[in-house]
Amino acid sequence: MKKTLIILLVFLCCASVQAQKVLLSQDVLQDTVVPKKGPNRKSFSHLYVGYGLIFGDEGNLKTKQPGTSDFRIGYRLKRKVSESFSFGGEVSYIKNSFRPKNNPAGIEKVKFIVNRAEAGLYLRLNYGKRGDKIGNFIDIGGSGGWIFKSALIQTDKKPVSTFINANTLQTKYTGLSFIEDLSYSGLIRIGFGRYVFYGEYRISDVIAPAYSRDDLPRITAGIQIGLH
Amino acid sequence: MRSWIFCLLIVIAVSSEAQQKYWVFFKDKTDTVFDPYSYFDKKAIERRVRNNVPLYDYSDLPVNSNYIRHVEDLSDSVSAVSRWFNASVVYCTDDAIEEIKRLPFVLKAEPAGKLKKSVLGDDDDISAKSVRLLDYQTRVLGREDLKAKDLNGKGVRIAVLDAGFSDADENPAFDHLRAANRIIKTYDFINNREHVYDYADHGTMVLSCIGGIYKGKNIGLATEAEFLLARTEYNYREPYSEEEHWVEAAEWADKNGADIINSSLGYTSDRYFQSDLDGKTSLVSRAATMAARKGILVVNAAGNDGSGKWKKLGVPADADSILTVGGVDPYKAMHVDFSSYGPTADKRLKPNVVAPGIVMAAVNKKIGNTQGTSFASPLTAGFAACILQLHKEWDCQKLLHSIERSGRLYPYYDYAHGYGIPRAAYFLGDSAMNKPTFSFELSNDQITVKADTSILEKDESDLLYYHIRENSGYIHKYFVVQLTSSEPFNIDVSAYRNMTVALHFKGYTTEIELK
Repeated sequence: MKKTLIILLVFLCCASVQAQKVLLSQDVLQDTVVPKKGPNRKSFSHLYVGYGLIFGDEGNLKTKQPGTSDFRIGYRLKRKVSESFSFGGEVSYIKNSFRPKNNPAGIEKVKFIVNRAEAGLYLRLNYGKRGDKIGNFIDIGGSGGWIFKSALIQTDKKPVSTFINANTLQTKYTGLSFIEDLSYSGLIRIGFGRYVFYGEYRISDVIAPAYSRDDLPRITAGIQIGLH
Repeated sequence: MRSWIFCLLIVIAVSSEAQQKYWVFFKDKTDTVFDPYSYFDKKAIERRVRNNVPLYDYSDLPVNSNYIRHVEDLSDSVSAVSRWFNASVVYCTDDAIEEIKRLPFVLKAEPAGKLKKSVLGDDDDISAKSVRLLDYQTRVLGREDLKAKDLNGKGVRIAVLDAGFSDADENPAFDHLRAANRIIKTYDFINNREHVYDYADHGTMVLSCIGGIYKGKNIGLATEAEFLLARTEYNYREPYSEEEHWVEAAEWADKNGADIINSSLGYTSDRYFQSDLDGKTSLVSRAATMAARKGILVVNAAGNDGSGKWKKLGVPADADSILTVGGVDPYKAMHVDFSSYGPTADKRLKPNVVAPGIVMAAVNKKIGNTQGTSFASPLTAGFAACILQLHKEWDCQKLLHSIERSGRLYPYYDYAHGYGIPRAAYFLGDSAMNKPTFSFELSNDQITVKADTSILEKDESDLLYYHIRENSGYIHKYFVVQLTSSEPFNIDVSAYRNMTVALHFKGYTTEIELK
């Protein structure tokens, strides 16, 4: 059996040495198939990441920078209607961090984290001639979703008392009952290829009105990068 | 004691006039005659042939005897002469060497034994491989045939449209153009001024591939042509206004008497879909066709998207009635990966021909290796200028179609090679017979091809080209196969009816109709 295998292997090697070598092979008809998917074709989808700052004045709940920020990662779909008009939708994960200015408890660092899962719709107006490229555009739309996790994190580098000797005490409160469950916003984007400047106005409240008349800042402005 | 002082004084006096040894390098080897067959030993010729080293190489030409004589007159003696370095070694005083340095044909002089690394490095710093490449890029187009007939583009005016011509006003590769005032006009259509010797070195490299000379060696073929240089491209942006500038430059070239326009430029996915490559959609393609209608041969690079997502040629390479040039590997004469493919969206054959796409070109006041169909195009433009010099009565379409017919693959064609590399010999009475180089048999939906074993070289030159096309000429599939042995090669044609299979091997083409 071993001998047979060796002979077969040698034969195959010889056969491959004898075989003619195809250096170029082109199927022209395959090349001419018009793709349906592409940045300026009938449909297109891509991932994106974004980072922005959140600002605004909401009464006593003032926040400070840096630290009051928006990070998001999402997946966007686009359907082309014409060279100038498209529409689409997206799903995204958004993490908002807020750093309150006022700290009555005297804790060194306090941070609110709000995690959102959202879906959105938008209308797009493209401008400028282009080939199969995203090009330059303006998007207007809205999104809504669920605040699925929130937390209040307090960090004290000079704890008054701890049950062990420690330089830092970090306390995390989760399941905050005063945080709303749902969120919804209006958005606008101006894009130049993969680089998009975005703005969002959060219409919904983060802090339930029953707990406070004031709320966290509503305006987000930042930059997204399309991963395409 | 006095005698010792006297001797010391004598020694000091003599040493101040002491002879030193110097290498004296000369600028050129003009007016020298060289016959390799009488100079080299038979075994030396065999070695060169075996190593693909050219027999006529600048470094083998003799040193100009007048130069040696002048230097000898000013020095004490000449101890050595070097062809390879175009230099002689002399013994002379410091004063004498200063006088020698001022001679018009002397490049530089350095003390022998203390040569700076750069003295030998700067002038001879291209490798043997680069020397071979520099030789090949024009030899493959028929440089020696053209030189034998003194065809060098003289009297032909070539417009070059590009992104800039940095240092082309100082690069030694264009000394001959500047000396004879053969850069007729320049214009920057972006800044609306005449200065173009800035912005980008792409145009400099392209210009050298049309008519540059490096140390007596051709970089391009049209070394005696006249030039119009136009800047139409931004270096770091791609606005649509570039196409408008192209049109302006083409009109300017027409007005200023251009016979040929070289455009190593192209626009693709940023602005167009592949369905737009019909020669009619883009402004610049229509302008290129108009230039052709006005009698200008437009030579355009096919593009470098062959290995990318776009794959196809760009605009204005899709224009009708222009010569679109693809790129080949310098030593295999086969399509190089990056060279864009045809055909056009309306199924016209492109590229028309191919030329070396990996070349040596003038850049940064020296010469360097570069690649792209940007350089295949000017090599072909220079070739076209030489042919136009021979046939001044030809209109540009006759010139274009003749260049196609001179292609090494003609009448075979495909959308990677067009009709192949043009041959100067075709225009100079080459009456090479199209003798069969293979036989074939069609049976049971299979074509069996058997190469003539007497011409098989068992290397990369044993290339069988074949395509399957419909009666209109539109190719459905095409292939290139290296016949690594004398075994028959089988082509399965069971899927094809009422089509034609064309085969080409080493200069012979045949066609088989499939019923």
